[in-house]
Amino acid sequence: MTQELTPKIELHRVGWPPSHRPVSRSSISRWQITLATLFVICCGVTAPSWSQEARTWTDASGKFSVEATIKELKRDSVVLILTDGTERTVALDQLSEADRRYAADYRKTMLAENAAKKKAAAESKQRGEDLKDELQSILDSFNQREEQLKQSGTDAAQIRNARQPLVQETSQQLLKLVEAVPQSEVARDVYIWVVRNGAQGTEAATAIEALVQHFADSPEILPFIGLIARDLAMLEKLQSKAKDKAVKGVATFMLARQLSSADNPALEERVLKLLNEVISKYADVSDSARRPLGPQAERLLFAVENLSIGKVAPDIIGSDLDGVAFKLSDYRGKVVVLDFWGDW
Amino acid sequence: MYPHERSLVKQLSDKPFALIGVNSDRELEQIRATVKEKNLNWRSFWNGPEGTGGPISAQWNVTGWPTIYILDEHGVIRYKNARGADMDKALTKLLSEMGHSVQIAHEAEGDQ
Repeated sequence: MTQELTPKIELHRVGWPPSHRPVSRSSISRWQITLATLFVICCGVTAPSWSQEARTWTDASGKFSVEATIKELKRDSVVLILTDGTERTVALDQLSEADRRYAADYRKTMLAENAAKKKAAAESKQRGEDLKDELQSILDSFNQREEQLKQSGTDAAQIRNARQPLVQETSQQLLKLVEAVPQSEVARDVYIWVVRNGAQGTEAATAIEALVQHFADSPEILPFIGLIARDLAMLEKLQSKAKDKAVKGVATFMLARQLSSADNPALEERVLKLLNEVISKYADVSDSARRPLGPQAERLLFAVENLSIGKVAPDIIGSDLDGVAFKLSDYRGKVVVLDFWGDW
Repeated sequence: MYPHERSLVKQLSDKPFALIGVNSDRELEQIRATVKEKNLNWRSFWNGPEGTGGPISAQWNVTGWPTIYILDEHGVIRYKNARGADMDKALTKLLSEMGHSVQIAHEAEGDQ
């Protein structure tokens, strides 16, 4: 690949603006990757594939040129990424005619691709709508067969055992139904049905993963965060993806609780950070049992800081069963078994 | 539980060891009677009339009973919820750190 044909300083002299800010090569390449990823995930818009290759850009006078890829095309300027990773913004009217044509093609392709993506998303949603009838008929059939089971079964355990294969079978049918439209509302209802009805194995894993992947922001998944939390990797993913305040708050608290349960000193810093986040941002959010997270997080924070293995136990100042005052710390110098008990 | 605890207190009576309870019964009179009747030989804080909702268990974030913490001579939490043989092992280790060699063995005794 050819390097810049002219020194940067000369480009500056003819008025091409310098890069916005000095950035090291390694950080810009990381940044470029992140940006490209964000672009694809969030906006669903990618630059046309032919624009990804570096080409030679020339100014209107024909005297100066530079090897670069296009990063962003604005209304009257283009942001270029040079082969050394630095970034330049150049006014379109300073470019050669060939470059202006290239930019116009680029704009046209981008617009067309955006429109195609929007259309595809709308169609996907439409297909989801179309599946509602089929979904209902699968559920009707399930309900009917479940009713038959209840009538023929003799005891609760037997009915439960017979119901499980039916749940698995129905889950398979439902997941297959929405396979092509994983982001539709119908798909969301399917995943929730699968999880709520106690499907196990692959079906449960598929539904939970899809909920985390596509519906991290739906308050509808709140009641199922406990189920998701059984898989630490899924919980971490949900916690990092969620933007809905309630989902984010509950996932953050559950992650802290999960990580703290091992009493691992190496995780303590992370646990404290998560809990402080819950206390500062999500204290008023309630969990699925309608308990606000703030006081729960405060208690856990105290426990992590004072009641973990390796910490000096907090003192207890109280009275014994005969009403005589004493302190836990009276027993320093002895090995102590502290036993929270009750006669019930 | 009671026989194991009674036996530990008895066996380790001449060692730097204490079993301290935090009792979460609501009725003080009733638990005093139980202590006498069942010959419970350790000292307990009383968690107050709110029972399991009392202040000591709340501060210690206790959500299940029994909950056990084992502290060393410096008051440092060394074990959580070690019971039965695990508790015996933990105590043997912590006492040996203090230079006391102990062998804990329990006689069979029916709970009452």
